[in-house]
Amino acid sequence: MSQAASEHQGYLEDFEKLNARVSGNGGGWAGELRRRAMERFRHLGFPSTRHEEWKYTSLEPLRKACLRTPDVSGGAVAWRCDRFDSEGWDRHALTFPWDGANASPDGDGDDLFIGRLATAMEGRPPWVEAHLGRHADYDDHALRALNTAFLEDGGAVWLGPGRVLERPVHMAFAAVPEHASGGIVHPRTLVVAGAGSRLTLVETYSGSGEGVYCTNAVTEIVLEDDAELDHYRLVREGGGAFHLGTVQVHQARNSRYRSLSVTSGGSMTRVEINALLDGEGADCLLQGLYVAGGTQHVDNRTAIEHARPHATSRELYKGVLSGRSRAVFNGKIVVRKEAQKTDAQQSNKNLMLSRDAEIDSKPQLEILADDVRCSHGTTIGQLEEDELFYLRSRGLNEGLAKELLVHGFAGEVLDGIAIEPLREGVENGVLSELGI
Amino acid sequence: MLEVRNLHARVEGKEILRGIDLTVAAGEVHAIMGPNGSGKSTLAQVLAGRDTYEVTAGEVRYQGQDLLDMAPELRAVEGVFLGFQYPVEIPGLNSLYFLRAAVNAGRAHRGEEELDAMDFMALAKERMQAVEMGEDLLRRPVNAGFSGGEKKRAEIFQMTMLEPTLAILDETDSGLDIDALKVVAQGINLFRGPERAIILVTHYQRLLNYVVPDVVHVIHNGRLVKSGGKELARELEDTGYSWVEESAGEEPAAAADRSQGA
Ligand SMILES: Nc1ncnc2c1ncn2[C@@H]1O[C@H](COP(=O)(O)OP(=O)(O)OP(=O)(O)O)[C@@H](O)[C@H]1O
Ligand SMILES: [Mg+2]
Repeated sequence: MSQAASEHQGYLEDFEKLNARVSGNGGGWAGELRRRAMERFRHLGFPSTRHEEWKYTSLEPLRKACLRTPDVSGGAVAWRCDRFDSEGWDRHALTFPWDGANASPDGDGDDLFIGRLATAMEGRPPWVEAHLGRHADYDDHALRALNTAFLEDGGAVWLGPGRVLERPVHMAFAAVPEHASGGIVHPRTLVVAGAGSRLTLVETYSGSGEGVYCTNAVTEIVLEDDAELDHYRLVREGGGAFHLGTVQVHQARNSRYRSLSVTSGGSMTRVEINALLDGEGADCLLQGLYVAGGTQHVDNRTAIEHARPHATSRELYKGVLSGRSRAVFNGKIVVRKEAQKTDAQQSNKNLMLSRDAEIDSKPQLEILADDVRCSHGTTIGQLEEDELFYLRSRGLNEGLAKELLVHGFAGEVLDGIAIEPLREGVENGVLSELGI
Repeated sequence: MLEVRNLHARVEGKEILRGIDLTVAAGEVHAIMGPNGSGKSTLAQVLAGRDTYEVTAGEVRYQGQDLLDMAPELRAVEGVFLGFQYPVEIPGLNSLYFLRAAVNAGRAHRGEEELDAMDFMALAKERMQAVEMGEDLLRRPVNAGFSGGEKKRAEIFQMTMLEPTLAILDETDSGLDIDALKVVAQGINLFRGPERAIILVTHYQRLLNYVVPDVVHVIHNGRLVKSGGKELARELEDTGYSWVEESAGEEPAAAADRSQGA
């Protein structure tokens, strides 16, 4: 216990500093939320690999690193070094750390808010209190608890009923060089899409260099009846970084959620995407691409919970692994007893470019209803010799032939990025991590 | 242009090519015919550089170079083209993108400037017309979901784009309807020229009616057992290969007199 206490010392100190600098922000209600979350974190501590959900991903290096949160305004989201800064697409940009330049990304109106979470919390509109911290459950999740304890800033979007946003909202979290060594930050994002509203959300997390730092992000998304969200969550942290992230989605009746998650870079990356299909006819699509080379470790965990009848979920996660990298995929599908006529499909495909790379892929189906269609499948394979030879016989050298085949494999997921300049940037940047 | 001497190759411990001798001069069209499993595709693939097949003896010279010593991609940019009996489907790889990379690999090798997307498209459109291939096929991933005939047509289209010096076409005529066969034959004939040579692997006289060969070889059990003029193909159509099988134990006399021995 005393060991744990001393390990937590840094977090506790930083927590007190944060409380001092944000007092008033969100009032007593937000302070109470932070305090409760900090209590949970102190109680839980970082999970060990004895914890079933952390069997293949060790947080030991993170625990030992004793990272600190910068004591500056917005320190809990101190960032800046964007590897996803592709030009040529029109957007509402929210850049962290906040530089004031985009203080109001034309997102104020009667029926919408696009801006900083800190600003939203100050104004205390009903949608913040109704949803912030209410979906990403932290009772049994130390990292979410820690993020909630350090809840200070991030992006916030609220769309009133029927509001359709043409331009995507881009929240760019990028590591600041001076904080990128030895720091831990906790960006927090809240998106509330009113009935029948529609938007595209792009979240990018990036950093460069080899410094040790940690991003511990939580995004809460609420889709009311008939709302639609396309969500691209793209991660490419610096070489020594830890990236830990949760996306928690709450879907009401006939809402549509389409997620495309790319995880790459960093020394250790773990992203959890959880969707609760809590309304009839809800539709959920989870697509993912993970790319790891060298000694990188990347862990993707998804949970789709069908709580109501007639909902549909589709899932495709693909991985490309080279070097001595290691990947984990865990795809959970829960169909509650009342969720009859559920239609759920899951697929995980892995391309192994080296004999020393490893993948642990585990589908997890918990089906309590009896009238459902559920399927899942996993493949693990190498590049096809036939395909490689075909390309080489047309004059492409071996390296280029491999590259084209890898791009082809990844394309099944990446082609889902409808913003062309962004897709190109992701494809070229992310796949270069493989070192082929 | 091409000299194959006493070529032996095996796969998984089984000897498939057992002493192939073949000389092809610039400007010539050679047809190779023979029963299923006699080694036609193996020969074609070995010439293109497929390393599944282990060459155990013999040599191959192409334009004075040691072909067997060259990587498949080097053979390609040096002008060797293999039209696959079973073209490979590559879902996820766009045909246009692939083909431009291939064309530009050849151009880079020859020290020519690379074609940009627009020049490439213009060239592709022109060549597509020659083999009456729909542009929509090119917008799809490489061979993905193509019908058998579409795949063969696409191979010929690739050939006309890559402008090889030696084209080895492995049953490019199989699976084509009559009209497609004519179109493909027309593509091959357009491609024919004094600087170029073609090896046609085929089972049928049909194609040879349109693309008239200079020499016809019969392969059996990994050896060329008989060579002759275009009338040999017609003869085979009538008699089949049974007579070849009877004489298979004998030395390949006709082929031997075209080569200088190992
Ligand atoms: N990769 C391989 N592994 C095992 N056997 C092989 C392989 N490739 C070819 N063979 C064998 O070698 C022999 C010759 O095959 P090949 O494909 O060259 O025949 P072919 O003359 O092209 O026949 P077809 O007219 O049917 O196309 C066959 O017996 C075939 O089964
Ligand atoms: Mg064959």
